[in-house]
Amino acid sequence: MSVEVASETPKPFTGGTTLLGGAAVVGIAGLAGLGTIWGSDQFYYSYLIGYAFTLTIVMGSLIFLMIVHAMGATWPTAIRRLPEAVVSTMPLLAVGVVPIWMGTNNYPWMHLKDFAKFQETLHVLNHKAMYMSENGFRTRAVICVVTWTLFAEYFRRSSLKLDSQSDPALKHQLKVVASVGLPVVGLSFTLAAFDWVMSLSADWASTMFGVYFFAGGFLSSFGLMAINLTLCKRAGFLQSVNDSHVWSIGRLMFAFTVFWAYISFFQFMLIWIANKPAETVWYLLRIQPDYRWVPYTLMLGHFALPFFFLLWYRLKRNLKALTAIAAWNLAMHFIDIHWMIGPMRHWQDHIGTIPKAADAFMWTDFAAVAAVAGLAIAVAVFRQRGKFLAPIKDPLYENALRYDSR
Amino acid sequence: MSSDALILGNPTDAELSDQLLSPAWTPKHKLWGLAFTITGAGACMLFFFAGWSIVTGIGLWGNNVPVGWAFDIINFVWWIGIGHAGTFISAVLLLLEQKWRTSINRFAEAMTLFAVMQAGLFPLLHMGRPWFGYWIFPYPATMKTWPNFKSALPWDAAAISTYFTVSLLFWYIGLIPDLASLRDRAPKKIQRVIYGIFALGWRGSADHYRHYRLIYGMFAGLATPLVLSVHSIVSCDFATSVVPGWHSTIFPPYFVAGAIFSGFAMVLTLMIPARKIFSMENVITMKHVDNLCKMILVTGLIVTYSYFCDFFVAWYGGEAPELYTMMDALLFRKGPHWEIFYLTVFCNCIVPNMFWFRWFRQNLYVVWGISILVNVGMWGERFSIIVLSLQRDFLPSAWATYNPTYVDWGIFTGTIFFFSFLFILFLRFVPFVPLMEVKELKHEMHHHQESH
Repeated sequence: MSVEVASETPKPFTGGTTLLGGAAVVGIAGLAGLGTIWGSDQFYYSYLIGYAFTLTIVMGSLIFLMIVHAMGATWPTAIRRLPEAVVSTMPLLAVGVVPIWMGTNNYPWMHLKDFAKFQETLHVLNHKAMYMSENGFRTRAVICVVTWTLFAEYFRRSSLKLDSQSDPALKHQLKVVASVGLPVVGLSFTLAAFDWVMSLSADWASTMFGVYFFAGGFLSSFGLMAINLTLCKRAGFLQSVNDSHVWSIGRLMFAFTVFWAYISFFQFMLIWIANKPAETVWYLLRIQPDYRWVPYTLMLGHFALPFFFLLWYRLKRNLKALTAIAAWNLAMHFIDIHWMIGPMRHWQDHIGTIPKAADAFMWTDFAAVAAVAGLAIAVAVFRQRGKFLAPIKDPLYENALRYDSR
Repeated sequence: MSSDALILGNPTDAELSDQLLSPAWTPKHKLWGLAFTITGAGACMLFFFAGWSIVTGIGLWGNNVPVGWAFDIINFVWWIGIGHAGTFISAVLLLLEQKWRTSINRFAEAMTLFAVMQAGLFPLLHMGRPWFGYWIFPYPATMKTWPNFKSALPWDAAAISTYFTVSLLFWYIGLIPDLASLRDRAPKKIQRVIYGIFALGWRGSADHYRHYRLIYGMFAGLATPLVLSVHSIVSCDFATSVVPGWHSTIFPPYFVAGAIFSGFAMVLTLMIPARKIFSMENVITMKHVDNLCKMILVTGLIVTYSYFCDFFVAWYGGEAPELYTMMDALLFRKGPHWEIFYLTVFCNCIVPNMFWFRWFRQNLYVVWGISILVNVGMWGERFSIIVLSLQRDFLPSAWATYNPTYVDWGIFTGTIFFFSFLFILFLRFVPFVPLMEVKELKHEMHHHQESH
């Protein structure tokens, strides 16, 4: 079996000025919006939402790249530059950790006095104080973003070297670094999820939380891949990427739609059925009237709808349809991330009581997403300019283009 | 020949047929006869101890209060877990277009079936009155004795019976073309008749192949969610409760990874001697061994990650009973049988890391040794979760120590013999390397070489 490979003279990426300019304007506007509430509690939670939304997708792309290198997988070589462009925003996100670094004041473990009347919670907070301390939190944040940036830059830069010359030794090195790096990145990402999001609750803990935080971002990273592929194809690049590649992206979207649902469902079901007060409070807070529509939206929109659409073979081979689902998916990912973080906004108000309704979506949440994601897009486009959109001298590239699966 | 090849040499189709079908009619290997006798005797021991338990009651076992679940559920989870590799190899790797699954999938699927059979024995025996086993199903009982749908046990019964049915059908459908080859080449009439009945009139026409492909792909699609669901449900037997050490939200994916981990180890344990005894080194190559080792490494790391999350969050959550069970009883060695926990960590978290190095992956003695250790470790993991948690739950006044009796050991080792007994029968009666698919792979690879 061999497929017709569309003849295409690879050329470096040019253009994208509109996207770059537009994204930068949106990003700066978002920043300006956030600037109006600088320093307030609302600023922190909104920023965390925007940052977590963007970071999970970038980390999903990084982990995908590492898996591809570790497995020596062939077909993704044809579209590998797309996730590489996404992870090229990691230095920006590393700088973007500063507000989180400064925002420790928004976590309950910094306010033991508030819990004076609630001995059990106070006991737990005291118990973990040696880990959940301001210094520990800040040190871990720095270690995490530095580690991720180093890996992201390494994989992108090494891959760019494969644009000019084929280098089997470098391929081998990439494989080794990816294999050894995956446990490191996986573990640090889990700890970051515990620190930045899970510890927003005073005494709630879930062993699944790291996986849950990862699952949505990983899924969205495939969606973003489909969107980026569409943009590149429209601009006249990557013409030799064929239906089989699209199908593979579609299959991954399908698989991880199910994975996200599996992880979310079991986390919920196990907490619901055991019915321990310290655990159910997390969901109790998130089904208050202002938020009640969110879990239903997630069940339907994050799982059921895309699941049934993506079951369809021909749809998964159709880039246009896939792109539409991917865009929908990104919106759902935003709601999912918001659901994790947003309801914690007024935790001081409901210490020791049945949680009250939190303010649901605020305009600053959208401003934060616009700021972080907008600037990230601008950085990615900027860094991609003048570079090829595929690792054309990669030893696997020719075979990757010939990928045929139906 | 490089160690990367999936088929060594360049055998013709006829040579492959002769080689892969030969175990079905060449005279018995001496080793096979010996293994048949030993495992057959061991299986009889299983039936003896199981029969005795049914007649006398499960007071013969070491179970006590609070350890009401011990060997029966440990062995159940262990065997079910081992079964997972079969479905993973045959269904998930098929969907992932992994060609290396071809020579080992039938082998692994048979392992699944026999492992699930062993697993199924334990809940039945644990009931004490196995003749009431059907109570677990929601049949229209006039006494309105409905199962409690909020209990994970009826979910288990449904998940496992589905799993067994789908695995059996998947395995059988895969066998049909090879059964037809056996029918066509068998030397004796009786063999031709029996294989002929099971071959369902397969003649290898294009239509047959078209239908076969369609249904095989459909079963792969059906079996894939089952790989995930079965062990997730098994993990719910524990995670839905509030027992310290059991109630952990990461249990479902953690159990699935652990199941695949132990299943791959068992595939290696069985495959390394079988390929030697039946001289199948040219179709089950070092590349297969290498890939299986890498899968063990990956799933082992996921298991290690899950242990980390479990222990870290137990500490982070700061609940007294959880802290005592996980930290004091296990980590700080204050509970009875803590050695098993350390053995588990050694076998599951440390030993598989040897597979980072190619040298270990290429040395069959090392690989075989590690595969055994992984299975010991995975048995220990279930012992740690189940017994070590139950021994030390909320109230110190309710604590007790569990010690298995010789009946427990007799039943457990008996299932290992019974499993092996079924397996060596399988090795002789059907081709354990799928003939049709290996031929297809050979032609594909040949074609691929020509087209370059």
